Amino acid sequence: MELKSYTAQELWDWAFGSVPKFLLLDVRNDKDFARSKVEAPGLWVQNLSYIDFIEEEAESLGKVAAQKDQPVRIVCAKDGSARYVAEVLVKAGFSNVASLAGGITTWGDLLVHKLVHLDQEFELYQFQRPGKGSLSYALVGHAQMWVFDPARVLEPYLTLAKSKGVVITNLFETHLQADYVSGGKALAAATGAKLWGHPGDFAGADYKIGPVTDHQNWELSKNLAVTAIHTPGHTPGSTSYQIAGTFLLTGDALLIHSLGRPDLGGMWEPWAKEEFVTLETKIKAWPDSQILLPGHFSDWTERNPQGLFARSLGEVKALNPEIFLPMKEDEFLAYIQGRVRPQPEEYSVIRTLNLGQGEKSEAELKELDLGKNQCAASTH
Amino acid sequence: MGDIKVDQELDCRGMGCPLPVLKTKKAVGTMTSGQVLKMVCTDSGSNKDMPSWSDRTGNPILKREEQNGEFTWYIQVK
Ligand SMILES: [Fe+2]
Repeated sequence: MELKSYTAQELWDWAFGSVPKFLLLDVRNDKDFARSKVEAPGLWVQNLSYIDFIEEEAESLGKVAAQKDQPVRIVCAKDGSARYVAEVLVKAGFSNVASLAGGITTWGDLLVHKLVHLDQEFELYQFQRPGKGSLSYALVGHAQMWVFDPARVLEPYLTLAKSKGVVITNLFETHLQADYVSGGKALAAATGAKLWGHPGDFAGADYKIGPVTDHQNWELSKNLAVTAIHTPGHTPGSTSYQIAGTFLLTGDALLIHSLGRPDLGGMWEPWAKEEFVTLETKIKAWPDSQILLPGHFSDWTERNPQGLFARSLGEVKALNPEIFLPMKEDEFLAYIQGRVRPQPEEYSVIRTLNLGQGEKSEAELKELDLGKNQCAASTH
Repeated sequence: MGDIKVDQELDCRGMGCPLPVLKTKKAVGTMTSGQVLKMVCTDSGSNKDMPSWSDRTGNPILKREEQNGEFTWYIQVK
């Protein structure tokens, strides 16, 4: 009999749609599950290793949380084990079983874009990467597309540009990413676009990247500009880009919950001191009406009712009283110190790759680029 | 550790998950306690899954080698 399969895009559509309840059965080992499980609001997930099904089939079948007439969607590292378990379930009488084609990395690499803003001058899109919790952006107008913080998988940006009939001409990095492999260098090579990043992070890069300076302006038209605001702290080169005087693409300088952790570089105190200055002299001066479009999210509850990770500065201030209340430097340092924690060991490898150093195969990149970000200053 | 005396060999090169674990389980089932199975595979997933299987079943991994994209596992039957 033919086993059914499904795609990461379908998983997204079900997870965020109103389809009947299904069980997502992850058959990888518990360590991989902990590192890169599928998360979506209200998703019903169970981890039962395929090794358990090989060793104790009957016992494992008894542990499956779904009833036999409920849909079960299986996921594993590639797709062989998911198919193996799917077959076991079908033989045991489960009536609606399918396995994820291509495995968990297809979910890890999925980008879904949503419209943030549309007017006569421009369109602004948010690319959400559910497997990573990272966000990238595309500004479209005047026959051009500018991309901010492109992810490793380029096809979603190229497809959007093609469908809009525009050319990708500028790429902006908010900072040197530690949690995901940047697509900046590759997208520049694929399109001829100019790549921009602050020397505080990119001075050591082994590829061509234009040095961004504080207050630098890029004009898409005489009515529409992008302005760089140097917002160091999370990293020394962290830069926010303000679009049309309204939208603030902060990278991790400011998040909807909390701000980017300054301890990823291994010296939390000097970077936290810089972050305090950025917070006090720049971020706190941003008007309540500005719209924050961050580089990462930690939790789906950060989305607004339109399904976007976008909040007015007024809302962000209300959501983060511990950051926005008046604070002295030592209070801020204590706040950060309480949130210093180990980082995933792959982050140093990813930072090196993002400077254009080191070689990895596509399979290694997919594996390295998997798992939810740990970029926010938080206690977990 | 000196040379390991191998009682049975299993070639899982070119096979993807779940076959290396599945075939290892079957081979171990035909062997007796204390014997050693040498399994060779090319699936990098085995680096997580073989230790996980070993923990699960209590058959210890005596040694692991990696060369030219091939992973060799020496497993003692418990
Ligand atoms: Fe970051």
